[in-house]
Amino acid sequence: MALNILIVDDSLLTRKAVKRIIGMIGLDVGNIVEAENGVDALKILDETKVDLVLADLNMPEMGGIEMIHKMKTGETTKAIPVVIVTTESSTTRIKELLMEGVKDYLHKPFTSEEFKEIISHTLEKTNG
Amino acid sequence: MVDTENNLTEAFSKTIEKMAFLSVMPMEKDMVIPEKTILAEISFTGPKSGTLQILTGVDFTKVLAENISAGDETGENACLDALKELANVTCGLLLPLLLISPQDVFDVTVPTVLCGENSPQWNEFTTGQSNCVLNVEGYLVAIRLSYN
Amino acid sequence: MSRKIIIDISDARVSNNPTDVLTTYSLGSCIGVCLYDPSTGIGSMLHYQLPASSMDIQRAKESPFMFADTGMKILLDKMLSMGANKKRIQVKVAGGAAMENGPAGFDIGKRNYLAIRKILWQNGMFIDAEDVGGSSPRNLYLDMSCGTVTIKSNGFEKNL
Repeated sequence: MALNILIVDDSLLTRKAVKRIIGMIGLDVGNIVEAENGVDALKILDETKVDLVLADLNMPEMGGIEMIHKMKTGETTKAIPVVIVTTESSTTRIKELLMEGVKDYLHKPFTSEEFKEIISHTLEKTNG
Repeated sequence: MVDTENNLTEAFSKTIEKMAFLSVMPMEKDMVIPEKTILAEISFTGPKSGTLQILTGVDFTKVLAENISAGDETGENACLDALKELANVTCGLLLPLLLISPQDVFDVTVPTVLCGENSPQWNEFTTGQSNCVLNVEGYLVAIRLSYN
Repeated sequence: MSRKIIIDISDARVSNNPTDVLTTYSLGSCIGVCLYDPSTGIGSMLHYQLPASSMDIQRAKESPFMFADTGMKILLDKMLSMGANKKRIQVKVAGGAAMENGPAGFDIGKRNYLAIRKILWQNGMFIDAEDVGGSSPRNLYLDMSCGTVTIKSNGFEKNL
């Protein structure tokens, strides 16, 4: 089944790189949508069916942590798997997010192979 | 001072290698000082608070954008974005090196850029204050970490 | 009966013969790249010395396999013209060591490794396995009958 993926990052180049790697993996992808911050991401989630969210944490307007909190309280968004792609170094913060239901995390900078492994692993876990 | 320089070099080198496939090299004689510069900065608060700044020439930011995007993006927006993300990711690798205890947590701002007339001249930026000036495959990059 | 095909420094070979074992020796700061398309049985090996042809454009014209960019372009173009597909090609990389008596230039092993990473990124290809860095030379073998890549270094042998 084709996946709809939402990439949330204020860096244009990072969004492009992530999109490129998704193409390289060869997943069955429907739409890939992009957002620069949590506000735009939540609007997209209101209007579009999304199967996977890849999100930065440090963004203007609304960061990833607040976006994730809001997703987890929304009926249509709480079950959407989220992988954070972040510069966050605090294991405390990462653990809190994992306990809130974030599926996995990837530290920047990452190689395309590291990204591929995290996404493949996440999709396996999600599809059971 | 030496520790700061080592930490900056380590964080920056790891970032530039993984993000953009570029390596830091020994300084060479007669390296070209960039005329048109771009400055990226990102601030943090926590057990220590301060600002990380990266100053370089426009030409280097084009190489950065080109490498990160696999050749797709080299326009002005991409160049600015590349340098901001470089500062963002370098800061992310730097902060764990500044930890006083493993439970320490930092908050960071969103990175910003200054370009054109608003960006400092190279000599103005690199004279006087503590800077780390690096040769990234023929391009000069100056990094400064200042504490509040 | 397998046939060893030796690839020298700054050289490369493409093969679709399942009896071939592409082989290169003494990968120090150099990088050895093995490419193999399991569907077509087309494979190749490159042993390059330097990261970029811009370092010596004249030399690169005479000896394109000395450099990562010119070498990989020729190799990939050849493999694709024979029917290989980038998405199917398995990529395995070895070498890039920090050698005491290596060619001049700061940590050329690391630069060589970054060069192949960049080229693969530009071509939309992953590295499927690698054995890089350290300070010991490596010998590299690509068995064209099945695509298995073997490394020998310091008396040890392993499959990548």
